[in-house]
Amino acid sequence: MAADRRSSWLKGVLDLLVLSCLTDGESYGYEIAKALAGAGLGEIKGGTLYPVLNRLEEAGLVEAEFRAAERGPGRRYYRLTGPGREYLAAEGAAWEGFHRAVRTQLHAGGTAP
Amino acid sequence: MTTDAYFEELAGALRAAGVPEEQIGRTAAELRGHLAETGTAPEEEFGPAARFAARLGGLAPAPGEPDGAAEHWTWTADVFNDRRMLAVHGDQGWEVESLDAVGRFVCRRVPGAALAWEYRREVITDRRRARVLEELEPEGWELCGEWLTYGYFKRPKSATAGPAGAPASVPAPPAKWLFLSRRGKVALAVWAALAATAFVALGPPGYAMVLMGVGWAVATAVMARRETAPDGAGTPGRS
Repeated sequence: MAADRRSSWLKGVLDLLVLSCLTDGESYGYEIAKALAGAGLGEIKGGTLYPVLNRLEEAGLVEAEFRAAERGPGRRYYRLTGPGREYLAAEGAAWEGFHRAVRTQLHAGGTAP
Repeated sequence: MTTDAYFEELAGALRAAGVPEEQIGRTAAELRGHLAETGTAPEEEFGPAARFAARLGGLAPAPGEPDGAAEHWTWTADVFNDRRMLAVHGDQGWEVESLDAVGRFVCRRVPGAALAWEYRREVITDRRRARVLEELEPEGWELCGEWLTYGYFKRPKSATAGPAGAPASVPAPPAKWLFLSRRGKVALAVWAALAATAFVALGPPGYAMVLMGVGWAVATAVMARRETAPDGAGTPGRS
């Protein structure tokens, strides 16, 4: 099914997409989810997003800081670390390579206009 | 489930998985903040608390990442013994990831971060399937494998027992992989004797295979009926 396929595509690249949301500066969970939805990647539920953020933090690719808000609950802000930036560049390039290979193959198979 | 009850369950499950108290508090504050912005209910946003806790605790391997630290073990038991052995092995931290093509339980355990698991078996024929899933999923049960008419469900014990749901002991992966009950051994012996007799009597292997297949199908059907009969009117059977 199309929805299932999209969700498995996303699984393979979600960590990179989350990192890419931090290249211009820090952000927090809800804002990252909104940015990805705005980019046309669909709604990313908190149940999917936070385990990814956790893993990225454990791997030292992002660092986080909780800040209390004047009104309402506080937010945990994430920012890219040096290794996170390098990881994003290297893995992003690998994804690009994969994407190109898929596109070339699909064109060869005659599915492209 | 209220938001407080959800976070209580989540905290209990994280605690049982050995997540430090400070990190639990921080995570809960962050997630509550997220809900304040989305306006969604916790279960809708994060899924069942026990499953979410297992993923947050870093227990689930990242997709595509090598799973080097985890122990793997595959085993099986007969239908008279499977639930007892699942309970024993679940208490030792083994999580059933799937049932393979020959009906063996494919298990995984992460040393140092193992959760104790509880299991239940239900008959999930096409007719019952939707109803069983509808009843069990809100209670945190996740379908982890199917074999013939049986569906096997798992749930971290911390979902109901809190910190008391951590594995009592984590012995090394057993070398044994087959756990037959006495009834299972008798049934196997009878079946083997019948099959051998049929083979000798009927000669061509085709006949024997048909006989074996029919016997097997009848046994399965009888078993499924026995399972559903006492409370077959609606509720899933006892696990």
